[in-house]
Formats: sequence, structure tokens, C-alpha cells
Amino acid sequence: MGKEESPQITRRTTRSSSSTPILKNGEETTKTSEPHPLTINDLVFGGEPIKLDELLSSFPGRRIQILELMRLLGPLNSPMLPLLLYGGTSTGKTSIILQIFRHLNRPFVYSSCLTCYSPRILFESIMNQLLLHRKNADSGYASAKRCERPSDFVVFLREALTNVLNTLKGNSGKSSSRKLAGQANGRMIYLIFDNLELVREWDKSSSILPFLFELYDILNMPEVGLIFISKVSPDAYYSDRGYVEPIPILFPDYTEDGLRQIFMRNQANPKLYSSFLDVVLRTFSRITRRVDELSTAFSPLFKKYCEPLSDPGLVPNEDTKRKLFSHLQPHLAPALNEIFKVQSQPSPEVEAKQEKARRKSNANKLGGREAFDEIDFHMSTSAKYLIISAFLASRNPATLDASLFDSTGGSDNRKRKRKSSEKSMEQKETAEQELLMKGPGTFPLERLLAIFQCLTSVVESSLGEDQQINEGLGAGNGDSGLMSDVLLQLSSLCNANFISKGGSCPLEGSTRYRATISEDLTLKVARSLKFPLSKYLYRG
Amino acid sequence: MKGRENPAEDALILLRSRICNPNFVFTPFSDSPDSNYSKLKFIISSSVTEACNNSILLLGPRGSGKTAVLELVIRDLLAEHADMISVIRLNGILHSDDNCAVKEIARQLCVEHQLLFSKMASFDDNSQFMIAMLRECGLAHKTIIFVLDEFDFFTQGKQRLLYSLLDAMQSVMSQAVVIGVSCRLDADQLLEKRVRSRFSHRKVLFLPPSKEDLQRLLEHILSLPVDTSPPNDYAVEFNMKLHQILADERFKEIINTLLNSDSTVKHLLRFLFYAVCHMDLESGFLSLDNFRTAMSSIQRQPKMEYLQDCSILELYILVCMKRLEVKEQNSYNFNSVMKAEYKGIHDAYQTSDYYARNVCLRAFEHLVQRELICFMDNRGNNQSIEFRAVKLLISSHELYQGLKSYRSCPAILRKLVDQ
Repeated sequence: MGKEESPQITRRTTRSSSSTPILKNGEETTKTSEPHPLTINDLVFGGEPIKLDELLSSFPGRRIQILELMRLLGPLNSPMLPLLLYGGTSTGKTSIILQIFRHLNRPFVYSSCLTCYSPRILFESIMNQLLLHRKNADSGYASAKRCERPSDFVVFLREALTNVLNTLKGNSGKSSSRKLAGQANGRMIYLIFDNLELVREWDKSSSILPFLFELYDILNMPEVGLIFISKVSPDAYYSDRGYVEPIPILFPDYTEDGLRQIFMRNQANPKLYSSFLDVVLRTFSRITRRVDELSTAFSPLFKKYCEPLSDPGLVPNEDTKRKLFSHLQPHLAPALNEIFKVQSQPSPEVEAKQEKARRKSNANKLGGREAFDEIDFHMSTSAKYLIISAFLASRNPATLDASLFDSTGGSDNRKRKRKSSEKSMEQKETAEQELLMKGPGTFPLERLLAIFQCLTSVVESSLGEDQQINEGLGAGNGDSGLMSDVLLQLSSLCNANFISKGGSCPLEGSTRYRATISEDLTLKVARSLKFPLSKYLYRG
Repeated sequence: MKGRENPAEDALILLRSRICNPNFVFTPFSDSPDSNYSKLKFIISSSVTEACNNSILLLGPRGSGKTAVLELVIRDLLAEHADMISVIRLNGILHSDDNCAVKEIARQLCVEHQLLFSKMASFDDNSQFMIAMLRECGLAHKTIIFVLDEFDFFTQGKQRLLYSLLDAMQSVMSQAVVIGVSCRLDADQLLEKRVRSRFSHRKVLFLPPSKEDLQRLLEHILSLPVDTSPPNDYAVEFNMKLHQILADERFKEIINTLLNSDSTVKHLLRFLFYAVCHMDLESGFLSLDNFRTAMSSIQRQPKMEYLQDCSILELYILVCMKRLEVKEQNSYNFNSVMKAEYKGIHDAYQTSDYYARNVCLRAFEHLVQRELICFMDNRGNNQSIEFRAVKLLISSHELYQGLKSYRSCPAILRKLVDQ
């Protein structure tokens, strides 16, 4: 079974690693520890140049987009209006444009609004690349120029671009007949802005976004090309001030044929994989058509598919295919429901420990790593009880606490066993509807601690000796003297987003908390403690 | 082939550089006496020669050529009266902050007159420097032209810059022309009372080009030059074919449709750029098909495109939300969509597409990412995603069209939307 290579995940080489050892004028590669200073030729993609056929074949299903981009970029030294590449996740926008620049061998400056998460970082990153500045320890990893405002950026950018363009003109004038490998083509430079949709979330987005779109007109330099890459469509950028729209190019999601072509790449046994895809591709693409999600779902399934085969290089005939299909089929339905779950890959030591634990407790019905009913991370017992208390505090109205958590620790169902009239059934329905809509309620800290104490005092008295047997569980929950421990647990649960902390309002008094943990997870936690959660839950 | 490709490629590069060059594009508009170019040139040159102050507003939709025509005028004036004019350019997007603007003015003045500019100068220093320069230039009979792009940005806040500039023009012995460029047609209403009283209410409106102007523009941009010393057969043939296309009724229809949505010159230029890029380099001539392709690329429907990209589960969720809307439920969230509709559809029709809750939640998140649905509140009050109220961002018509053109759409969905 070959290694699955998703073509979207091309390694974006860093500037230092992309510089080729074939320097111009036949300089020797210096073997010093210091990386050599950057030259203008480091602004190209570097590495082996590729031909158009290679480019087209490495991106199946993207022929139209690549050819269109090549047309819009145009022949060498032709000016260009700004472009906007848009499409969903992992449709190949960034990798295709970078590979196109590798093929064309033209210099470009790439910056992503994901890594450059504020205007200052964005501007300085572009300036560093244009000024051929590498951050090093001597200068304390400082940028070449400090640049915070768009006005400063435009001034510096113009200067830097003029310098770069002059160097390029000089280079292209010198050796016009034979270009050395690794040398940049042409006299134009291109600026690529990736993840543009994130700029809308920035603080200064109302001025930065129009600035980026107007940048082409403000600069008024025909030797500069601008390319924007965005996940959302162009109509998300419309503003009431109007803006000059760049030329849009759509990258649609892959069709089923395209997906098949992508998954068939780099497979060690194409016929076997093709029969596997016949089984799974259609059903799984009903849920999602994203390449990254499908590939994570397919890899464990393929392992399972190949299990009965003794020879992984076997070309399957009809019988084998049917056998393999029937082996896989019972696993398909649960796999569909777990399609977005990325299985963690435990190390061999953890697996051995799991085996030991499984042999001891014979409660585990489902084998393998697919233990849907168990939580797969470790929590101390007090944290588990805290979670349960928080969940109950959020779901139950406060008035019920007294009856639920009386001295016996059990809920008293006798009072509620009345024949429910029609009106109260309706009320129950609307209350349920409201519960669905409103979400979990808030509770103050004191209520949480009260419920926690109540639960743990009951449990403590009933469990007694059994706790010592279960090794590997955290420290015992213990007596009311350990209140500070509980408060520490509470803050770590807040950090883990199981409980969220509301702002403190001076009118309401202390801060209120809300349990944002899902019901499934709470049930798993309760089950691991053998806690009867449903008895305590108020169901209308 | 190689001999043939080169003239076509050269022609392509020439056409592209023309389209990306606003100076070239707007030159034909400078001929007639009642064009905006002539009006503008007259106003500015008269205030230069008569040594008086003036202020103008250039108004018009974005992309109608205001800055381009202004730059043409300035270029011609600089050619005529070289040392009687100096130009300071500010842009509202960059310099709307008063400190920033005055610093930029001081910097440009320093560059122009070869003075040293200190970055440490304060706002007061810079504004005093500006007033002093105005006085000096006035005494030397030199006009300073201030170009304020995106003028409406300067009217935000206290309008300190505008006031000090216009006030200096009135009180100090200066010669200055302030030209504001804005795409808001009511830009002068945004001025404060004291600023507006110092502003002359001259406005030059930039209207969409007329039919004759349009024809002239197309010919001007797309025709290759034929007056080269060895007569260029290729260029002559190119122009002939071009004229045939321009006279074609179908081409006129395409242009009409294009300008119906947006009649600015910039929009037309984008269209021409796209068409020219698709010129067939083998034959070396433009064809009507190029323009048709360009038209279809401009007439995009992004939401429909995204609907085609959805998976079948995501379509189910959209249809459920649409049904909830039809039932006039004002606010609903993921939970109610799941419980009320999704389960209901599965129970009623026994579909095979009934998936677990976490899978549906992830598909729901994909829809939010694609901006086909959105949350109604901002930043959610710390609520998790299942409880936040959502709404659809597509209309029922779009959903219906999307389902109709979706390949392999389950018949159930189409039926449900029909009801």
C-alpha cells in the first residue's frame, strides 16, 4: 500500500532552503554554518523547474484553472490587473499558484494573512522579502524596517519595489540569450496575498481591506502584479464604499472523477485501490467532498480493507473483490458516522498498557481502538465529578436542587408520578423546545460547589474500599477540606472549554459559569464513574 | 510557427499594457472642449496664471476615471508650466489621520524642494512648516496643487486638516488649488459648516461614457498601430478583423449587457483585459468568442457556485433550514434543525442519508465556512455552535435553482423544496 500523497500539501519551501546551490557565475557552495545572504534570485520558487505537462498532470481535475491562470498571467513582462483566486478548502489554490510560478520561474513575494495576523506583521513580512532581509540572531530577529501604518508601507514598498525592479532589469539585460538555472525570469514581480478572508476579522479591517484592494491603483506600477487568494467568494468583500473588483477565478470542489484521480496517485497497487474506491468513494462523498477529510477517513479503512489479503501486491479479481467488500462492509456504517474523527495514533507503549488494562477490566465490549463509549483522555476523579455537577447545574433549574440533592443523595421520583394532562404535555414540549433553543443555563460558583459537595459526599460513603483497586485514576476526591484543589480543577476545566466563564456583572454579583460540554461526553464521563446521570437530569 | 507567434505575442503584451495604463485609456477623452478634461484644465490653469486660490471636487462612481483624467491634466500642465506648479498627493485611505496627513504633506514638500525631512517633527511643527511653505510659494508665484483622493475619508472626525488647509489658503498670501476626488456624490454635504464656507462649490461630475465615446474608446485601446516604417501586414489585418467584430450586432449586445450592470470605464477595462488574455495566439487575432468568454466570467453567481460544491448532506441541512423558515420560525439553531426537520425527513421518507449528530455538525460548520448560512449574533456569548441562532444566506429561488442543476441530487430534496 503506497503512501498516500495529497497533492494539495506541497511543501512550501522557505526562502533559505529554496536557494539553489547553482549560484550565478559558478560560485562554490560555501559550507559555512551561516546561510549565505539572500539575492534577487531567491525570490523565485527555486528547486527544479517543471514543464507545463508535469504541472497539469500533478493537479488532476484542475486543467481549466491552470490554463486560465497561465493566460491571465500572460507572457513574460506583460502587465496584469489584480486577480482573486477563490474556492473552498483544499481545492489547490495556493499550491497551484506557487507551482505555476515555479514553472514560469518568475520572482514573487508570498505572504499569508494567516501567519501574518496583523497589518504590521503583514507589511513587515513583505518588506523583509523585498529587501532580501533575513532575520537572524544578531539583530535580535528584527525586521528590516518597522512599518505599522499603510501610509508608511506604501512609501517603503515603492522604494523597495523600484530597487528590485532595477536589479531585475539589470539581470535581464546582462544575459538575455541564455538564462542560468535559478535566475529569475523577466522584469516583473508579483505579490501574493493568501487567506485574504481572515483580514475581515482584523481590528482595522475597515481600512486595511479597501487598502489592499486599492493597492494596485495607489502604487500605479505596471511591473507589479497582485494576486489574492481567498476561501470566500468575492461578494463577501463588497462594502458600502465600493471597491475595484479584482478578476475572479473560481476553484470549485473536485467532482467524483477528480477525487478518484487524486486518490489514485502514488498508489503502490492501483488496481486494488481502485476497487477500494469503487466501494467507498460514492458513499463517503455524499457527506463531504473535501480532499483532506476524505483522505483521513480512507486511510484506516483501506488498512482494514486489505486485512484479509496475504499479499498486498495482489491484483484482485471479481471473487477477491467480493470477499474484500464483505469483509469491509460491517465497518462502513460506523465509519460513516465517524468520518470527521481523526483517530489518534498511540505509541506502542500506550497500546501495550491499554491491552493490559483491557485484560483486567472485562467491561470493554468493543475491541480495538474504536471504543466509542470511552473517553480517550485522562481526567482525575474530582474533575469528572466537577464536570457532572456543572452539567447538572446548567441543565436543571435551580429550584429543583433541593429536591434532587436531598440528604439521601438520590432523586425522589415519587412526587412527580402524576398523570400528565394534555396541557402539561404541551408545556413539556415547549419547554423542551426552549431548552433546545436556549442552550445551557448559567450558574454561580456557589451552586456548583454545593452540588459537587453533595455528589461527592454520597459517592464517598458508598464507594469505600473499591477506589483503591482502580489504579491509574487520579487522587481521590476526598473531603470538603480540599476546596482549593477543586477551584484549581475548575480553572483548568475552563481552559479546556468544558465550562465557560461569563463576564462579571456588578448587578448580578459574582461571575456565572456555563457548562459547554456536550451531553455525549458527559454521559461518557458519568459512565466511567458508574454515576446514574439520567436520574438527576431534569427532563421537563 | 515561431515567426508567427512573435507578432501575436507582442500584440498581446501591447494590448495588456495599454489596458493597465490609465493614462493611455483616457487620452481620447481630452479632445472635445466640453469634456471633463478640458473643464478641469481650464480651472486649474486659470488659477495658476491668475495667481489665485481655488478648490474643486471631482465626483463620480468608482472607476469612472476621475484620478486618471486628473493625472492627465496635471501631466500636461507640468509640461506647460514646469516650475510654476508643485503637486502634493494625499489619499484618504492612507492619510485620514490628521497627524499622518500633515506629516505626508511635509514629507512631499521636502522632497519637492530638496529639504531635509525629519521624522521626529510633531503635528504642530509640520503644520507650521506647511503654512510657511504656502506663504513662500505664494510670494514666489508658485501654485501648490493638493490632490485629496478618497476625499470622504478626510471628512471623518474633526476635519482639522481640511480646515487648516482651507484657512491657510484664505488668510496667508498663498496660491493653492485643492482638488478633492470622491466616489460619494454628496461629499460636500459631509463638510462642516466652517469648512464648507471656505470651500468653493465647484463640482465636476464624471458620468458614464456615451455610445460614441465608448466606440472611440474601444477602437483606441484595441487597434494596433499601423504607422510603423516597414508596413505591418499583421497589424492591418488585425485591425480589419477587429472592426468587423466591433460592428457586429452580437458584440454590441454583449457590451450593452456588460454596461447595464456597471457602466464605469474600469468595469469595461476588466472585461477587455479578460477578453484580450484569451486571444488565440495561434491565429493571432481577436474573435467574438473571446468577448463571450469574458462576459460569462464576469456574470458569476458565487452562491450558485458554492451550492454546486456542497455535498449531499449539506444540501439536506439547507433544505431543512429552508423548511423551518417557510414554517415561519423566526429563529432556529442547529439543534432545532436536527430534531425538527432532519429526523422528520428521515422518519417520513426512510432516506439512506441519516447520519450521526457529530457528522451533521461538521457539515453545518462547512456551510458556515462557505457563507451559505451565518450566525445571527456576533461572537456568540460563549455559546457553543449548536445553540447559536442561524439564518440562511440564500433565497429559496437560489436554492431551488441550485438543486435543479446539481448532479445526482436526491429526488426527495427537490420534492421537499417544491412544496
